[in-house]
Order: sequence, then structure tokens, then C-alpha cells
Amino acid sequence: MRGVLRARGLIDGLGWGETLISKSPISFLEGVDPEQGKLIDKSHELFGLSINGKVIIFPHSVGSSVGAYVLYKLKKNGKAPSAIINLRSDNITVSGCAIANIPLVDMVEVLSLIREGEFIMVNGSNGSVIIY
Amino acid sequence: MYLTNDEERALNGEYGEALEMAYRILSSIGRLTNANHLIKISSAHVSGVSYSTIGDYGKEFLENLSLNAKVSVPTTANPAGLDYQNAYGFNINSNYVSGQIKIIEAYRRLGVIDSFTCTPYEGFYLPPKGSHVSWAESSASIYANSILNLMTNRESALSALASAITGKTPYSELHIDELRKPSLSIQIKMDDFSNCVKFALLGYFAGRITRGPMALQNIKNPNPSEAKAICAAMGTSGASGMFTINEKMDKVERMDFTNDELKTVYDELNDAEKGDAIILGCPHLNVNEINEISEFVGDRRLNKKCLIFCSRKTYEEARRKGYTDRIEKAGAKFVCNTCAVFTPIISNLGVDKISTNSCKAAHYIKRVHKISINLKDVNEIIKESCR
Repeated sequence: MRGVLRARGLIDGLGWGETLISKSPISFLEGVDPEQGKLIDKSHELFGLSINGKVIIFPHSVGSSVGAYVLYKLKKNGKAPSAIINLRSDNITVSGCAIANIPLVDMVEVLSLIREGEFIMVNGSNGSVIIY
Repeated sequence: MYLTNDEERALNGEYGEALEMAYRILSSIGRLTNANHLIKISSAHVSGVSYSTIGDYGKEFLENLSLNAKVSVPTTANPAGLDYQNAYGFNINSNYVSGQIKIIEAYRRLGVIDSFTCTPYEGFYLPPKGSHVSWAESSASIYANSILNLMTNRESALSALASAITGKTPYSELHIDELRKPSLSIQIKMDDFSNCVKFALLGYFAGRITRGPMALQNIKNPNPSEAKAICAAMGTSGASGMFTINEKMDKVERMDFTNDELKTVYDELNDAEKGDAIILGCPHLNVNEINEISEFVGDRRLNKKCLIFCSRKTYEEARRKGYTDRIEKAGAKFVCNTCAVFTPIISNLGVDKISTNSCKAAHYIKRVHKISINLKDVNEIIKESCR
């Protein structure tokens, strides 16, 4: 195990998987297809990639507050990310993760230690991220 | 954030899925906004009603939730995307009509008051002065804080719904007295400052200046119409949740609002010389405002389409008082329980230019429906639109 990073726990629960890192914000309403669980915004750096079962890391969400319902729909379809890490979270991501029951943390100390594609575990209850 | 034993049990699912989810929303928003605990609220106002905004995903969520949840405090709801009792003639497809009706039915099952208006404080439930509430709909929450002497944050559809179900909200931001003190004052430096469009332009300007509470100085006390205009415009352009009027301030940053600022904001919103249709009622009109329009119109006829948005309750009261006759004879149409922006009715009008007196409608109609806007006071709009 490489280490445990402290974070602010926002939505309780454990989620694990490979990371998918985005430097730019995500708009769930325009940017994510809840049927396929893929990023469909052509201008987004992660265009075409699947978020299903991943720990997705992005600064915060943008766009319509209806985006919260897209996270709910992803979960219903079995295509949701297993956990979310934000730089600094926002009302849309928080309420979306709350209704979809997706573990969420933000303000991770030394977020830059986490590498693209590696397997990590997010603990939203105690606010920590474990890098294996 | 501290939770009582009972709240803790609800969060752990002991009282069912709906309360578990509602407490999960509130506790996470509490953590996000650094709240210490939850407080009781006396009312809630939920947004997220129009099928144009929440779509099928929101509809499914609400339909599921409404099977096993009820609101626990008086709760009003925002306008829908159509006047479903009177939708015929607006050329709305049946998929939209059925989606919208299902959303309305879900809110009714949840126990929401049959309000469907963005001005629930006019004719619906008015909570006791000084109490904490949880209101979504930015124009209504700013009005609650600034005019009604209530305390609320600017809630989202889901946080207000969670509060409606639990009867609680995180004790943070505008619920805390010290955080309601303005840190910026705007001095109004204009001689004649007295119509709704000017108040709205001030609100649109002010909303951009700060995210926090602000003090408006050297201005007459706004009447309800003018106050609604400031609140709606301020909610549209920014994140601030309240203002004060002519309250004495010391040692805060000061800014001026002169004719120059007014003109800059006006030029940004106004991009047509004359509208081919008229939209009034953003926010929804009250009975007095309908009476004023009736007086302006008199016995004349309008030479273009005119839609007037208000709650059904307001319309019925205005009709009983005889205020709607002349307006309807002039050719205008009342649209009840419907949002003046997030509805297919606007794009189905088939016009490129719309006249309105609302900065909020101007801002959103341009962006959502790609229609140009002529921004004018209501009596001027009617004067230029009568045969």
C-alpha cells in the first residue's frame, strides 16, 4: 500500500476501482450518457470513455442542476462510477451523489499523488483515500 | 456535522429509504457548507417542476420517491412547463404533456400544496416572520430573506425537497445572523428611480457584484412589484441570497449605480427595438398587477400575441374581481401555473422578438429559446402594442 490520504468526506460509504482523472469540470446533463455510462461531450478531454465502476476525479461539476438526476439514472442503470473525488465539490455533485448513493470526498491532501488508472479506495464516511 | 440520535437513525435507514436519502442530502450539504447541525424549518418551496428542466430522469426520481415519502412541513412548488388544464392550442406534443402531468402528480402525492408558482408568498402559505425556511427558486428565496423577514439559503430542487420531507435544513450561511450582514453597499445615484425595469436592472447589476448579502442605499422603499423585479434579476445574474434597503452601514466597501451602469446592463439584455409578442409574469403576477394591466389596456385591442403568467389561484381571484375581462377581450391570454421561460409555449409562439418587463425572462428567453428581447416597462409595452 502506497498510503492513505486524508480528505473531506461528503457522502458516506466505500467505493473502489481504477481512477479516471479529468482536469476540466464535468457537466452531467450535457456531458454524460446515463444509458451507456460514457462521456459524450466531444469537447471534453475524456470524450468516449466509460465511467462505469471507476473512481472519477474532477474539479467540480458545471451546468444544469438537473445533472444531479443524471447520477441517479446512472446508478439505476448500473452504469454509475463507484466513487467520486472532487477538488472542491458543489451542490449538484453532492445532491446527485446523495440520491444515487455514490461515495464522495473532496479537498484531498496531495491529490497529485493519485495516478491515472490505478486502483484506489474512497471512504466517504471517514474522509480518506487509500492508494494500493 | 452533529446529528441527533434520531437523525442518525434516519440516516442509517431505520425509518425507510426516503428519509435515509433526504438525510443523506442534508448531511452532505451541511458538510459542504460547514454547518454544525440541522435546524427546524417552518416551510419549504421546491423547484424542479417543469418537464423542460428535469426531464425524464427527474420525473422517474420523483415518481419513485412519491411512492413512499411525504412532506412534513407546508410545502409549495414552482411553476410547471405547461398549464395542463388548458394546454390545448399551444401545440405541445403529447409526450411532453404526459411527462409534465406525471411530475405534477408525483409532487401532489408527496403532499405539496397545489401552488405551482414562483411567488408562493402571494396567496399561498406565508410562514411566521423571523422563521427559518428552505426555499428553492432564487427569486423567492431572495424575497424571503430581503422582504419577508424569513431566513433561507438559496436551495436547490433536491435540498429543498429533502428539507420538505425532514422539516430540517443545515444551520449555515444565511440562517446565521452574523452571516446576513452586508459586506458591500451599492449607492443608487439617480434622480428618477421608480419603475420595475429600473429595479430589475439594479438587481441584475448587483447580483454580479457579490455572492454575499448587500446593502442597497439611497433608494425608495420598493413596492411588491419592484421588489419582485429586483429579486428575480439578482437571482438570475449571481449567487447572492439577500439585500437590505437603506439600512445604516459603516465601514463596508461602496459602489455606485448610476445611469451609466443602468445603461450597460440594459444594452446587454435588450437586443430588439420592438417585440412581436409580449410576455408578462416573470415572476408570476399578483392580483394587483393584473388590475394595473387591466387599467392600462382599458377598452383597447392588442395588435400582437400577449401571454400573462400567474398562478391559477391568482387568476381565479382576479377573474372574480373583474380584472381579467378587459385583458382577455383585448386579446391577451392567461397561462396558469406555468413558468414564463422553461416551457415549450415560448418557442412555439413562432416569433423572433419578444417584449417583456422582466430581466430574468430576458436573460433566459435569449439563451434557452434564442429569441431577441425588447425590455420595457409594462405600460410602455401596452401603449405601443394597442390598436
